[in-house]
Amino acid sequence: MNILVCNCGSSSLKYRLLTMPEENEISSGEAQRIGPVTSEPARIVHREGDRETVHPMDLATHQQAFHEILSLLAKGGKRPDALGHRVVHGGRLFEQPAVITPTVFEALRQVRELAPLHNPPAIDLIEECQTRYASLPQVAVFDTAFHTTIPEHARQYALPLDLVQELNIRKYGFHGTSHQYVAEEAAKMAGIPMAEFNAVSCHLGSGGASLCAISKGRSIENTMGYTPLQGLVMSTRCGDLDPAIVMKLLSLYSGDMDRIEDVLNRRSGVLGLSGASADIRDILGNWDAATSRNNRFQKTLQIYLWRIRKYLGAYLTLAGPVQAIIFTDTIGENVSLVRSVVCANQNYFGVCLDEKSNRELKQLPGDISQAGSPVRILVVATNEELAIARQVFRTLSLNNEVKH
Amino acid sequence: MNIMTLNLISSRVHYHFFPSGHFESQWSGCMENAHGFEDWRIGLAELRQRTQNGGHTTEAIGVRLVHGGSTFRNPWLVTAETEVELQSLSAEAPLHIPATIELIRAIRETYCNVPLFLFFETSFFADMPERECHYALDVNSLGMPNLRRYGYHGLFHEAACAMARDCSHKQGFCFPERCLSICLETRPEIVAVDGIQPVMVSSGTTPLEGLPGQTTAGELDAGIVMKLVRKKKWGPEQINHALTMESGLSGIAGRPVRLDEVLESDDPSLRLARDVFRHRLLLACGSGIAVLGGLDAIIFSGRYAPSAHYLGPWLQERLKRAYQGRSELVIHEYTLSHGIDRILADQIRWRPILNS
Repeated sequence: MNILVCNCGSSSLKYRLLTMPEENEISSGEAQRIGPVTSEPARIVHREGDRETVHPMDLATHQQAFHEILSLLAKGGKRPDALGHRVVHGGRLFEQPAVITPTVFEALRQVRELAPLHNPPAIDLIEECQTRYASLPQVAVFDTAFHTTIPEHARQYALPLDLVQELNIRKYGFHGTSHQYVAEEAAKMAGIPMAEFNAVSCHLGSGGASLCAISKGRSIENTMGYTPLQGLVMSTRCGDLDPAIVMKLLSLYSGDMDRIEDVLNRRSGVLGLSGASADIRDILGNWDAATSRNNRFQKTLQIYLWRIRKYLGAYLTLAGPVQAIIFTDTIGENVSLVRSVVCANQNYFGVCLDEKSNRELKQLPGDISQAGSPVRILVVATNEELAIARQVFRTLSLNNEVKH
Repeated sequence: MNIMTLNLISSRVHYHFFPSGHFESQWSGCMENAHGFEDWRIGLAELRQRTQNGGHTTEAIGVRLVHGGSTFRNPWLVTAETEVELQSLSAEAPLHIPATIELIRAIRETYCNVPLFLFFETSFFADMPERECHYALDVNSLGMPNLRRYGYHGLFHEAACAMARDCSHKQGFCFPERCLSICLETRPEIVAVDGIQPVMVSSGTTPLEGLPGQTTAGELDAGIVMKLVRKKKWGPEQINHALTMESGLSGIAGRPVRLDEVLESDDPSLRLARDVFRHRLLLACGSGIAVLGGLDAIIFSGRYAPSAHYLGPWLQERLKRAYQGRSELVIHEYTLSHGIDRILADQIRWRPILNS
């Protein structure tokens, strides 16, 4: 069965066509700069095997981009048998992947605004596919679903109960698809059944980032909260903040919420601290400047790493004793310095990093812990599209909709 | 030395009198229905008279202040210039500083030649590392260049850590280098202390952030505050009231509760509140261990410090469960049972710099 996985960003659509259950990739790519015209033209970067082609074209909407992607696949004689959609926020309504039906789609409308940047394009694309490709089964897979096992006392904010109930306020957690995927891969590497696996998964992307505490294979905590704003210092998101600061900004900006949201989501984090770049690799790239005194880069780097270290300790305690720490995504997979600093001097938890293995790591997955370290430190490439495809296949199999 | 301590809480002045030779206050009270300079001046005159009637003269006065910003990094002997220095902090703590200045004026007018010392809860945190103090914001472009994280129970933490060092010395243990100081007050707070230096604190730029309190929310996703503005159409005052007066453990329990009640009771209706508090505390302890690189001692203080009897064993068990180090783990535990008034009096008695 060929499953086409669609991962809608605010102005992009990543896709991957896989045969399941063999897990072979047929093609993949990304439609970039969807929406209003920007300084560079919109395009689709399409890959089949080792061959990559770039197709500049107007891409006004995600729906239009999707049709063009299907055309590119058709030219290569490929067509999907089913569609999998990544939906960032499933709210309280979706705790499992869901086969799209008219009833499910109505429920999806209700969670549309929970992630205003990510949910609307995915839901609009699902609607389009329902209309134009009705014969293709569709499954929505939710980033929040893995975190539905977070226990009540961990997901509860200390707010009045009536307010919590009225606004459905709770910790949802995000990056669940990635955390689940790398945890399953790490458990295999460690030779431990997932149901007995305790770990801390560090999804450190160049944009968003979160840590997840995993106990017996299930998520029990995530640094992100009700929204993806809480937690670590991210590229342009502030992460943890005293709520009183938001109230101060409300007064300062005369209640202009658009401006406050813009500041906290798009002008803070690494960008706000450094004043130069939203990408922590740019800060690390200028290591001499970053380590000199009284430098804004130095402060950015210290705050960024300190926050990860604090959460790592918190989750090693919560899920402890853990068997592994997992690093993944752009920063987690590629920046050895981040792994080295956050794992340093954590002997209390049994974390012993091998500096040489860490520095010289070339191939993923890799183990960068010292021999005899009670906690294995694993670097695993995330593959959200494959994780989604697995869940789509599993869901359709349960619904007897798989045609081999 | 006869010492009077004064503590301004929500415009009410609490007082304690320590005659020479007494470590505990011999009489105490609160100025009821006294608000502002004139009421306080009258109340203080009555206090002075009462002291004199008992055959004593007040020889030193200590006042607890919540916020000292980056100006007041140590206990402060009040002089003619102090008022101006305090006024410069008014924008940072607009509800607190102006009232404090009025109280100081009333004290100086009533007790003309008596040395008056100010003790700031934030002083203990003055030299906390930048990486802990700062939020991931561009504070200059936001027009908040002084925005930083403080702690708000510095007097308790400082006294508790000193007590732990003293006890460990008397018991023949090593100096506890890496400590978690947990202040069990209505707004609880945890600090990681490396030697004598705080390196991590749960509170934020205000005491609202951090552990959930009796009526305060503690840590929240900033997105929730924005949701309250968008969906409920609430302004800053309504939000502040909800987050500081109607939230916390009482918000979860659905009725007013005290921290010690939540920690000690078996009442099933308090189970969720207790579990939320313990969970947040455990996470903060884990963060503290990570930044300290280990743990030697846990120290409890605050008015609900006796609840450490219930909380301590649970916490030790959870922290030991996460331990995978090579040597045997020993976590010492200490409890400071002094109230804030005793801590202020001790500061005056024992600080050579103040007595000189």
